[in-house]
Amino acid sequence: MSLGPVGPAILFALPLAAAIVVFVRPRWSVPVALAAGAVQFAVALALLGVVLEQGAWRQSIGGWSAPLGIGWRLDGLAAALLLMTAAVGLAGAVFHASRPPPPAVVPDPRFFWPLWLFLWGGLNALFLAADLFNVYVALEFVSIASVGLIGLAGGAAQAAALRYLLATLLGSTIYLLGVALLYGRYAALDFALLAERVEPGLVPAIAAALMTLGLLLKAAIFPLHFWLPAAHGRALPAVSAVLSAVVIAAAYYLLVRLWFGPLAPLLGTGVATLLGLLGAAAVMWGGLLALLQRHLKMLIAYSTMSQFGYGLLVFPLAAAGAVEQAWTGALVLVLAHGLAKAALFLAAGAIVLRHGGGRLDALGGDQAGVLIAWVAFAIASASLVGLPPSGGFLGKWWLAQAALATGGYLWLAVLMAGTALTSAYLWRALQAALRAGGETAAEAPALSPALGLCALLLALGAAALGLAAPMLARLLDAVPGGPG
Amino acid sequence: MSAGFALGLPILLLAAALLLPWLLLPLLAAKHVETRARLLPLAPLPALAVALSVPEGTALALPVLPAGLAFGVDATARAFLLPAALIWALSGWMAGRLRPEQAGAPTFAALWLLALAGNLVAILAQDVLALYAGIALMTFAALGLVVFERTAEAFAAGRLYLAMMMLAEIALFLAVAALVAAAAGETHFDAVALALAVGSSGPILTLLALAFGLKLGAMGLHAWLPRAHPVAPVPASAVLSGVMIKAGMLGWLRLVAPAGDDFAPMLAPLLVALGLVGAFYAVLRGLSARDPKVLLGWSSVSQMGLFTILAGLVLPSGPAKEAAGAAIAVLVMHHGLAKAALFLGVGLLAASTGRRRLWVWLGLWLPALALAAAPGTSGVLAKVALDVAAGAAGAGPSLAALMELTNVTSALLMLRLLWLTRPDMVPERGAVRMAGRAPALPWVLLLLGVLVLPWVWFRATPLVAEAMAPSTQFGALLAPLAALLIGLTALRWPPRARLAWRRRRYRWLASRPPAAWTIRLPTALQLATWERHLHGWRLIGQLVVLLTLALAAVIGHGLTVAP
Amino acid sequence: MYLSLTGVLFVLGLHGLFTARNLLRQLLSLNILTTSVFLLFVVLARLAEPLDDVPHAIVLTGIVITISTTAVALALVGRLAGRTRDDDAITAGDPRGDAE
Repeated sequence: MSLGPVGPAILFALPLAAAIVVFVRPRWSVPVALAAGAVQFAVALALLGVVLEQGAWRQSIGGWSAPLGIGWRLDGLAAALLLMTAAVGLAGAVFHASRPPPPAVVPDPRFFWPLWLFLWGGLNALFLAADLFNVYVALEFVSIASVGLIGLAGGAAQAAALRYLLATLLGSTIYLLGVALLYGRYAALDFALLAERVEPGLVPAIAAALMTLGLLLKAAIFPLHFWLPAAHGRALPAVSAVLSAVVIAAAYYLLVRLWFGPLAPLLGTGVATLLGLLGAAAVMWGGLLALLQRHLKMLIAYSTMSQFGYGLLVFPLAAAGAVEQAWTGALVLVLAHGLAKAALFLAAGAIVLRHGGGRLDALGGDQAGVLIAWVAFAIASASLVGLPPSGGFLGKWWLAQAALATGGYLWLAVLMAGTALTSAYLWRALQAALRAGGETAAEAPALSPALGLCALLLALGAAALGLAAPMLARLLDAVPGGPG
Repeated sequence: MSAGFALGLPILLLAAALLLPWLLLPLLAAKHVETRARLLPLAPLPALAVALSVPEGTALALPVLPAGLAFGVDATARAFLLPAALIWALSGWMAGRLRPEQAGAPTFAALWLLALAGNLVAILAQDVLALYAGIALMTFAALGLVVFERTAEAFAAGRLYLAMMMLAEIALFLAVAALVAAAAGETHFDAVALALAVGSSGPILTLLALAFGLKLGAMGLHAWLPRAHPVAPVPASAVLSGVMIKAGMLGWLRLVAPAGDDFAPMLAPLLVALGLVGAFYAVLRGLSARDPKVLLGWSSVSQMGLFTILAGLVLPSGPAKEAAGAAIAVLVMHHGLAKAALFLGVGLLAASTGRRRLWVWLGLWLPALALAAAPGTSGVLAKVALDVAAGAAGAGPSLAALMELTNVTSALLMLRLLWLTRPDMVPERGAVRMAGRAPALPWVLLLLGVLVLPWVWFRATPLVAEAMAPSTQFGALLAPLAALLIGLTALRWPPRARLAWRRRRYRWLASRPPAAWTIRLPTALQLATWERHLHGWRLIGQLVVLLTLALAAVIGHGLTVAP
Repeated sequence: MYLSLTGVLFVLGLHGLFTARNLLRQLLSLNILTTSVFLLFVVLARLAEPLDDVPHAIVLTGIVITISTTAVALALVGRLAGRTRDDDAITAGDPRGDAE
């Protein structure tokens, strides 16, 4: 039996089953979670191979076909994101498993692993979902698990978690309202069915606006980013990594899925420009605020907000005609950002453990034990800034090509200004490491080298992503539906 | 040609030259400092072999990045590769001798290897993406080397370096992206040069000039150079000033010069004038420096003025282009070897005591005289090459005379350097532990290279014959003698200033206040306050409603407008 | 008639969410908001010709999800209530991250 039909089922069911096992038997947490993670990584890798070989496909579960049944669809983009999720999830799991037990009392450490696996399953389901309502369910899965994971850090993180919960639930509800309107008009939820039926009109326009806003809220796009810095800056390192790398990317994934799928007929110049302007504002605002931060993890959190602004540039560039290049560029950028940002957060986690805090002016001095983490930080920074041959470079290259082809010089300027800001704030962080006179945690725990290595592997993945350009181009070349 | 033959030794050597720095990176996990330090001189050896033995036309292509990467050996690559490989190897060797614990530090060695890898990629590149990638890697690995001493001024210099290099990087990225777009996705140099020649290339040319001018430290864009080069560890300064700085020239030769005919009438005079101004101005600034490394940094700026002149002369096609190309090849080797020898010598001097100090100081005379274009040195060869290039471009005797004058000022600067470093002037810092039985051996080899290599390497060209002519050699006496005269006069003339010099104890790493290059703008705009407002719950509610309405309105409007 | 009720509930919920000073009230507003969307689905099912069963499945699933999210939210509110006053909690945190 080939992997094709079984793979998605494994990706969906395995983490949830493991979550239940881990919840019932907390003592087995680490081995079960790591084994489940390794299997998922292998399956995601294999699925990527299958997609490369035979292209996208979709399937129904249990013989129920659309509209009532649940269907899965797997294409290059979904496969790439599944693999990215698996890589980040596995690295985060190893990181968390090898991190020294926290001295402070954390409210419920035993909830970490079930929630982690739950989140992972939700993300997999989200990337595989083929209809608007399944997406909603998966989004809620992800939201609940994320909120729980953020709250685990205790203290101020709980306030941040609640704020995130309100924001994300509001986003889901607004999104669902849009879904309801679309359903009322076309009596379909499936992406493919909707893509055939949607035509310009007032109801779809309002539905599109609602769904877009809900997802913008979940992706923390300027000016709706209020929940992100605190939530990502205060959570546990592994949680921050997966939130910044994948959960935001999931919301963004839906945004492009919608606009380049069912809503493509509505993608006019006006809305594309508005989305692009929001993205540009996010790039600049997030970059400037990252420069102002005095705390390492907050700096990285604002960087996430800034980097996803690039993703929105896909809309004006595609609307202007350079669909292929804008699409591949933006998505490669999101993939590279995921790997690099997860590496940054994991590295920052190790560094904060070493120095007993994350204030930038306390990070200097003796770096024994976290040298690998800083190396990972530097490599991930190189990818975020966009030095060749990193994935960041490749994404920016394609976006720049798209901008040049369509004369979008404003977007080109945003791309370059964002690059300059990125290099400035990341250098601030790196420079903090080199300064003399830092602090060391009072009872400095012996840090396992695995902490730094997790970050290093992810960073190397991000840095080498550009070398796989031909494969990525082939993987992402099927734009679901160009704007009409 | 059979596939087996195509995969012959030259290709393997080329691949080894490109890959060895990368392959050595994992070895940095080795336990002993000495082992790690020993990797530095090994890494550029295949590149040296390539420069010496691989025939031109050997090429290698890798199917990575959007359009694949192409590497190969041609005349330009060889001209840059030989001095580069030699200087990297000897400086790396010297690094292990001068401060073994530093050279063997994994971070230093890793940055060194990465900068080397980037430099080799840039030199051997045959397409714009490889060139861009190599230059970027080299530039940012070098940033780590610049701040490696972790002093306040190193950080200040690092910030300035990063800001200016980032500007160059962005300009280069835009130019390269635009060129490739104009060349319909082709990235090979020929296609790109064609695109630059046909397209509406004003903005692209400006971007390229900005990028390469910044990399080269051309006049007006040089602010980072005299700050960043002196603060780095000595071996890093040697490769920065000796090798890496020429990347700007390399890029110019690769991308702009082939399409130079169109811009020559407008650009060439400008570049020549800019170069001359830079050559003189930098000498004046260098003369006022007290730290020999800062002086050497300014000397590099001055020499880059000569490169700027040649960048202008190389634009129009015909015999002038060939002459300018030959001059660039000579200058790359001449300046690279001499400058690296000077930096390493200054570092060696600081680490030496007693009798050895005197020997090192005497050894410094050789590269100093070479830069002063004294008879018998490669400086004469460089001078002849410059004169020929100026003559071929029809610039006439005025340019030749002005360039002769730069020889005088260079000589003056070198005299000042020797004066500053003379053994009784510099306080001894006590013995510093150096590794090896003959710690100065790599430096002596480098001196030997300064003495003979340019003559041997260019022996087949008519330039050598002309430079060897007795009349030329006698003529070369003029500039150093004039400089000596001026120097002696200066010694007698301002006694007060001289006293001031003497009274001030000479400090190797004088602590100057760090440059006030801080980011004030975000603070001034009260961004943090605005951000706090954006976190207000009510405002968020209003924004949600407002944005929904805006989105709906924009989508709806788009529908009514569209047919 | 029911459609307009949906609209009124939605606006009420949105208004309440952003004006209430109390976390519990905010949660209740959010639930009202969700309910209004479910109501819309039910209305759509009724309006369809013939009667449509998909929206009912959706609403059932949605209600289950809402119950669980509300549970999580209540658990968090319970934790926070012991620590801080409500309106402090919601604006807690200096955006520059100095609070830690």
